Amino acid sequence: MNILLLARKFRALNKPLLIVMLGLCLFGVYAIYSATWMRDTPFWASQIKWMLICIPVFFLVAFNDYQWVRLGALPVYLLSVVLLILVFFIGVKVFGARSWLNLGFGNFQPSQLAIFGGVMLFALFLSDSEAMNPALRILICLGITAVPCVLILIQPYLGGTLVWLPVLFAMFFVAGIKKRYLLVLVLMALIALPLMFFFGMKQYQKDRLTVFLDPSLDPQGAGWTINQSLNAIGSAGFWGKGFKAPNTLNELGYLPSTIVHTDFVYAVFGEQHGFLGAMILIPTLAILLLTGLYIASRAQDQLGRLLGVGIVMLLFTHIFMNVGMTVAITPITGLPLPLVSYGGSFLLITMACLGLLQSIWIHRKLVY
Amino acid sequence: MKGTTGRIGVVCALLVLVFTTFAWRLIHLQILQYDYFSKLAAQKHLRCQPIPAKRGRILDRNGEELAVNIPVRTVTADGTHIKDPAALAAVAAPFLEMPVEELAGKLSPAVKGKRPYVVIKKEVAEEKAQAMIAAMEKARLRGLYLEEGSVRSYPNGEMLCHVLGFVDHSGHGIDGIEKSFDSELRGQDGFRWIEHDRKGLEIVTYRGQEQLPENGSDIRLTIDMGLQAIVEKEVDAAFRDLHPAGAAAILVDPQTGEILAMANRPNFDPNKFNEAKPEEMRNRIITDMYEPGSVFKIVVASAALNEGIVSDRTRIFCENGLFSYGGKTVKDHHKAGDMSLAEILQYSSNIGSAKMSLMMKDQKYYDYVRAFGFGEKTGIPLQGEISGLVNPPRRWDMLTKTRMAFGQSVSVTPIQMIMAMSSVGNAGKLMKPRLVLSRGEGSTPSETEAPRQIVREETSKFIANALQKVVSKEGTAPLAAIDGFTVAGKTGTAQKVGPHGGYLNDRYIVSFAGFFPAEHPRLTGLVIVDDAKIGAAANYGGLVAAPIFAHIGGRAARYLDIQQENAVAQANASSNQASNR
Repeated sequence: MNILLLARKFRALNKPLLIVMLGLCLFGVYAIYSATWMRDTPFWASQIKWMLICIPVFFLVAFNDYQWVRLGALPVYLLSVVLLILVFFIGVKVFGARSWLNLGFGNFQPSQLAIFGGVMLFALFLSDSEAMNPALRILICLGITAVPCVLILIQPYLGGTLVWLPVLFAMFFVAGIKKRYLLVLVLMALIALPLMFFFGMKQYQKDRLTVFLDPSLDPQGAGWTINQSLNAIGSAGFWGKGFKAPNTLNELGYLPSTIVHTDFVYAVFGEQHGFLGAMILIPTLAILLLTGLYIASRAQDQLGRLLGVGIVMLLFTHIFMNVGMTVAITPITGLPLPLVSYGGSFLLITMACLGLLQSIWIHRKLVY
Repeated sequence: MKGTTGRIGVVCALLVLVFTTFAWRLIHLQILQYDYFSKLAAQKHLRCQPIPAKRGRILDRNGEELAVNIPVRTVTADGTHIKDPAALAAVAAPFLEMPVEELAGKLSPAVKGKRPYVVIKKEVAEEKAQAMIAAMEKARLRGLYLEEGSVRSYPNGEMLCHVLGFVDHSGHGIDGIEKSFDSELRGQDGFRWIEHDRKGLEIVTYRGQEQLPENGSDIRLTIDMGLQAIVEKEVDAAFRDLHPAGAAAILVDPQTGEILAMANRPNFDPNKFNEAKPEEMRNRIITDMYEPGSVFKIVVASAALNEGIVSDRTRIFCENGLFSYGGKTVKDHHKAGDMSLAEILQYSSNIGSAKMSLMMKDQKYYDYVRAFGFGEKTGIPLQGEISGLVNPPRRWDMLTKTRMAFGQSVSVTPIQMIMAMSSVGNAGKLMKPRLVLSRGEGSTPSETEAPRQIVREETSKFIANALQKVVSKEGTAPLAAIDGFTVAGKTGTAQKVGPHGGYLNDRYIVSFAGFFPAEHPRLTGLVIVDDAKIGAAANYGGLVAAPIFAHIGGRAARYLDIQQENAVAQANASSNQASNR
């Protein structure tokens, strides 16, 4: 790949997506600093280091034609399954869930690689199997889902499992599977939900869910986190309390310090910059996702389209569950906010996903 | 292709819908519910710090302090400021009067837990606390701080303990005036909202809402500590020499009903109330009742005279000292035939009194007993007053009425007795006992309640004259006489009632109640000695209680500088001469 080609590809990048992505990355550093400035560990600096690793990966993925997915999807998926099994034996336990692998320089969550591999595999399979019986397509995809999902569920990491469902469903939808099949899927899910609640979930997961439905049930226990988050955001008002303002609930330590810079970073920002700040983030995230869908719709082949939709749904589910839990419209699941939350491995996956989206955009027609 | 793009459009719409929901939720939380959440959040770093109100003092009528507050300091530790707990403990422990190890044991968990507020010791004397701070500064150590506090102190110790009462460690009045006027003495605590930071330290620059405390009002008693000291000394002597179960004396101003002195034995030190035994804490003058004995004859005599049933010319046959009635006999010490009303009182004739009671209708007699204030609480503002026991006529047996005439089958409290005796010296007007002269700084002395006229003025004058003869060579209480004054009074000697009813042999409650100067009484006094350990032959009101009364009265007269009556007469005479010229 010569310099000229590289420059042309660079010019062909989807600029809105690139700008929003970089903007969110910088915003993430700012938000992480806001959440943790009163503490000794410089989480924000660590996040910048990860970013320096992730940006080359992003360009590497973006400038290479995504057609490598046809070969790479299965190995990535299988690798993630192997890692998930490894986690079971040598994983690091963080907050009760054995879902991390210690790579020496940092922790890595294989479940995030698994969903990435899963999206690629779905896109590959669904784009190649349009002639197949829809029920069979669905069953094979469910099979692909089941293996990592069960492994993630026993970690136990409910959030990591839940992500798969909207992604898979949206990809079925865009892959052209007839609506009646999808309707059956929805009905089955509705039947499965109570079964899962009563037989498949651990007590703390049940608590989280019931408390989500009514946070006042247990304000000191399971409802504590969500109530503090609501209080932090609600007490900010229109203008917010200001950058490094004294006596924010975060500074006073009412937001759980272990996850304030990861899962609850949106609450910190919402408290600091109020309605104005929290509101700016919403359309920004929307632009990110809608641009992604636009790229998907302009993809040159079905593989690109499905990849694009899968990636957008992957990011959307994270955003939806994360922002949703801080404002108490979804239960607490511990899913990070893409690009903003502290955490290297998820940043890496997110950047790779966005790189793939850019690749779909750059390589949509032979424009270079 | 076309269908796929369309379906992507549906996904777009879904995303937009979700993000709109987020926006709506933010409006809901940050705009609509802002007030609710901002209040909730403010509570997280604001703390309401109480500012204690100063408890009011208790003063005697001349302003002498009877109950005051001594400033003390509470020593607290801030674990986040302490670097070397062992060194700090070594410096501070001597001032806190605790072993170094104990202090170190209290400090180190505070340091480990980074706790900013740990109470180390309460009620540390001001000087010791300041000395400790100075020593810490010298040693360049910090971490121990002082908070203001106060403890209640009674400078006179045991004196007047039953009236003053005491407060517990949390500052609540538990007994006596401290309890009756607790809310006025306590005042209203104030508060201050203070902001504290992450470590719980106060941010001084913050000026939050503040309410200053309303300090408690001072209570000024009618008690005169000069008289109280005299009474305490005499009661003490009686208690020491006669070894009685109890002894008590009261001085009252008969004109106003003001209690000038009140003392009981046994007693206690309110500064060490936790060491006091229950029997020492009882104010027997209001909480205990006794059979008054002959003192009570003033009631039947006043009633009969006031009703016109007897007059100064009436002579009552006293059966030569032995009167059989209702299957029992009533005996007199002074055996006589006919006696006048005055003589019945002078010689304390049981038979004469009994016969007078028989001349009256039951209900009428009972009404008089009640009119004198017996059988009801006097309303003295102290805890635990009882109403005594006066049975109504429907519960009388044949003997009750005659027994009541000389003070048996009736139980009264000492405070009732002295108020009744005061009414004789106060032209027949029964006063309510007053213990509080005024409350608060500028308050005027509280209104005296309208006195109750129980007998006509002439009646009480007559009785008072008769009572003067009691304190004469011929009467039962010559020992109650006070040099230079005419004293009117009545002795009482009653056998103690056993716990299961019936009288106890050789155990007496003896008393003397009287007032002086008889013409214009300034003081009424009552002395009661319960179960003095002396021979039965000497255990009479006239022999035991009357001399104590005389001692108290004589010293009280000098203290108050009451003009002697012969001096008054002389002064009047000389002024008359002067005007004649």
